[in-house]
Amino acid sequence: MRLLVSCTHNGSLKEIVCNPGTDTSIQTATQPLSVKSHMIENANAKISQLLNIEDTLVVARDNGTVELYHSKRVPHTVVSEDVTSTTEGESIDLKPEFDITEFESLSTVKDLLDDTILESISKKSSMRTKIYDTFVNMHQLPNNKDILLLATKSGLIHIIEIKKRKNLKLIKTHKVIAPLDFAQIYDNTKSKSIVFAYGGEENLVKLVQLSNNFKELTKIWEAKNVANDRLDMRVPVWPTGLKFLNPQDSDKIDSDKLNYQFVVVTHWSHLGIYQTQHGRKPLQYIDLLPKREPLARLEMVGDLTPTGNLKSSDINNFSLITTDLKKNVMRFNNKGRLITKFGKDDIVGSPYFVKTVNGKYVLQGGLDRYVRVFDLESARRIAKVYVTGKCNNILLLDDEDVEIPQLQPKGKQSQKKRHQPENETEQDVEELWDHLEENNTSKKAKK
Amino acid sequence: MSDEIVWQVINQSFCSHRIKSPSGQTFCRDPHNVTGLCTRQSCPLANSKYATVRSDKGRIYLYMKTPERAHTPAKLWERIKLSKNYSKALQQIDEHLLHWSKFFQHKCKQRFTKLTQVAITERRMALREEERHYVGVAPKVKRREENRERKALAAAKIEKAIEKELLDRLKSGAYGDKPLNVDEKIWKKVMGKLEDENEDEELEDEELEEESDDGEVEYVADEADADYVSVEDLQKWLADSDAEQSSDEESESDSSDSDSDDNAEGSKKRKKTKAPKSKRPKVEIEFEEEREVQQPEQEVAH
Amino acid sequence: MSGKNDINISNKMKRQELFAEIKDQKNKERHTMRRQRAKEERENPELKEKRLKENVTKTIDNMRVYDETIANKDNNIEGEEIEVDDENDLMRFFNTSHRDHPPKIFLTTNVNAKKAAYEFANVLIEILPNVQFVKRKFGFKLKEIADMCNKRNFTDMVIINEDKKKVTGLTFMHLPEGPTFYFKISSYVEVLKIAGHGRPTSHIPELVLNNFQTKLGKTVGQLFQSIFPQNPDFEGRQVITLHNQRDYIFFRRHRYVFRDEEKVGLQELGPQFTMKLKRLQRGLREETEWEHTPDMDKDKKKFYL
Repeated sequence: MRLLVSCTHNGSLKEIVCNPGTDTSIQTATQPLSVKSHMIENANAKISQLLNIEDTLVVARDNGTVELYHSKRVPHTVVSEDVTSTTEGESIDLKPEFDITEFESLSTVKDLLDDTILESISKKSSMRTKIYDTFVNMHQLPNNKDILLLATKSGLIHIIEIKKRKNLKLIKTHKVIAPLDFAQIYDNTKSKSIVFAYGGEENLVKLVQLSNNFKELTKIWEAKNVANDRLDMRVPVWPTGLKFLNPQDSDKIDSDKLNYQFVVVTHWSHLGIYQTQHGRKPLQYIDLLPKREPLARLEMVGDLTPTGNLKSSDINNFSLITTDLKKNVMRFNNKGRLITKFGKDDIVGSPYFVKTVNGKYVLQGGLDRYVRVFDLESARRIAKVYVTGKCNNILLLDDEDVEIPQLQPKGKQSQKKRHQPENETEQDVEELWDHLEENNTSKKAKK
Repeated sequence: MSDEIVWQVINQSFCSHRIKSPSGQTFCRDPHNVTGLCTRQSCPLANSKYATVRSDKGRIYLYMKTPERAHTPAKLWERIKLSKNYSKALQQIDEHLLHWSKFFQHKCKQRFTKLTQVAITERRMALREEERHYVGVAPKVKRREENRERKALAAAKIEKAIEKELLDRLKSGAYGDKPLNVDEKIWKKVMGKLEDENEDEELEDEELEEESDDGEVEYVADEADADYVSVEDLQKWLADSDAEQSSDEESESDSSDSDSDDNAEGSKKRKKTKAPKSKRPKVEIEFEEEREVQQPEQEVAH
Repeated sequence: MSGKNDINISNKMKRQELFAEIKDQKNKERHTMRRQRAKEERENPELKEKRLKENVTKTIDNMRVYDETIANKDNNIEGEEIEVDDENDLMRFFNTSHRDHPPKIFLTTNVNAKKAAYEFANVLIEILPNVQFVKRKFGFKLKEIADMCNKRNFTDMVIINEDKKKVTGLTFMHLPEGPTFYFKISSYVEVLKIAGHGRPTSHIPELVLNNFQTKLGKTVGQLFQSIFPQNPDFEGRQVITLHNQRDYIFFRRHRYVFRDEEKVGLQELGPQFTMKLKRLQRGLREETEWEHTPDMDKDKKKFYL
């Protein structure tokens, strides 16, 4: 499988080619076939968002640039000669054949972030250190694949066009209420206008509509906070992840009202299920963890749209994956019951990034500098690769196994070895005996 | 069943709600009990007419039961939501318990006051930032960590490591051209060694003997080397240097406890090795040694 | 025992006598063997070197479980390049601000601290440079304290954690943006209880950091390096040591003297205590980067620092 991993320590993008069973923390286990860094910059320009469109790659960096790269597969050539196999002559054949990607920069757009907006917010925030601006989302629009929608933490919504897969052009920038922790595009049903949801710390979930010419941004719906808790105190608001479901399709739909369904997790460990038909308050608001421990991300499990929304309208039967800030990657069902934990006793740092891919894999990376791939259903670990830096974002390019030709020759070798004893002449056997006897006598002498 | 019979059973035989404190006082654990004491008056089981105050999901309610509803246990308790306003709530209690006994009027108000106070405290605590991050430590884990620490300390050989590091720094020239922390002679030697390694080994040996002192002296910055040498010190040094020369044989002399034939030699060696330990009074050491040495002799004589 | 059957004598006296004899003989053999070896080796020092090289004791430390973050691996060319980048990653937190102005430390205790915490604070004031102790007041949030410290240009914040009248932990926070380290403190020995302790002088001590190997270990080392100033007064001949052995960090303070070019005299100045890293968090107690859990101790040979 081929992974692209963004490392925060030097703003690089690492391409990892590995096979299932890879584990770099054990010396004897399978090691990744190739780990190669691309686009190294510095820690201030770490890559926060990645998007792969056929043979181009769009990269959003924390210094406010968005870059377009052309990617090309090149056959891998081993530079160093320390190939593990020792048998002479055959070593050339034993190298696994696979491609690595080369990137060629095509176009960049600069200055898309604005830290000044966040200054006043970070004073009020419950985050203890200063908040820096970053990209929280980058997606293609569902109805026009050549146009990207980028949202920043400071509440800027950029619309960027990729012209002929070569040039990036900023079309329009809108401003919404900061801070943002997510901006999720609705792409479950086809519609002409673009609807997306955003929210953040003390920033309730809002649905906004972007007009077709991208000129206007109108708020169409806003959530309402839940009632006070049992101590009669206001429940703090901080949605950290949102995913849409298909709209309700029963007969009771009031056509005057909007028809959206979505799921939210919050920093205060709530799971909220909203129906715009039901009202502005959530249908359900469940505590997932005790003591309101923070939750960071939300990924749905099941049949997903390109932006990660769930293609199902059943709010009573789904499950989701979320992470906390300690070390847990957890899968909950819609009732808020814990189903499984991924990487229990293995992950030690905060799992910063989690993503489900193809309904088959869970990609995880975070502060403990490992990238892990899990099987979604069994929660078993497929690969674990050390990437020397903290990991920010992961992209799975393909999940094909690289054929390792080592296996076959090895089999041949062992067969040969098995044949050898038969071919041995008597002389050899005698020599062997002599040798053994010598050993014996020398041992006796030592005694 | 009459209240009196119930109370007699509770009081004289058994009640599952009752707990006795070591001081002899009895308390009641029934959630409906308005005072928490096990008395005839405040027993919610033995009184068919009863009033209490309880909180449920953050709101405070006045609960009342009357003998008229005693036959329908599901509807036994009538509850009234009390206002969030404290004085209004007190008025509410007054209204509802208008013709009740003074006891219930008073105790319900008391309990209501207490519950509001609890709620206030709870709220204040929730607002406060959790300063500490409590993690329970099992005794097993604690013991394990203590043991591992002890073993790690033994394995660390810290002083040796420090000495090595300091010498490395000295020799690698980390202290600059004219180090302030080294005696000039030694520094010259180090410099000399850097240039030419094999030079004046004998001299070094002499120096070594002079310098080798016990660790009692405080090394203050402006220390002047004591040139005065007493007879005892000389002896010690001699012993020291001997011990160093026979450092390879030291291990032998340590383990030669049961040496019966070479007694004289053994004791000599031991004296030499013991000599540098000048802290203890000499008499005691010799006394102990003689005992140890004599024991095997006696056995042999038998 | 050598498996000789004549030990099987029922008379206790005889048996003991015999046993003593056998043991004596064995001792003698061993001694002669050693003497001979010593002699040979004195003549031919290479032999000794060879023996010492071959006879390496197996210790828990050198049987340590493989850890890929230990830097001295003979990685390929690409690996080296990555190492350089990593250095930058660590430096970003500490040394950028450190070079411009020396460390300035804000020292405080937990809320409701007892006497033990203040006594420990007194000790720390002596050890740490440029430190200001402030009695912790009730009702300030961590963020507020950090803001106040930032305004007064403090570079680090140290919080003494006291529980049940014993000092149990130390929190180091690098300002303004973390990271936060939490150490467990154990086996604290005060100066007066150390036999033969000396009196410290006001010179800035040297710092010896031993054995910090993994990436996590180096981060911890970096923390101590940033807290203690890097321009020691050598004439004071004082040295502070933080020695890491099996994840326990031993704190010691000595005065040294170079007796000659091979010998160093050490005098302990005290205090002694042991630290164990329990938690490393990003920011000021935000996301956990590493946390010690009891099940990490299952493997005796796995070390994290």
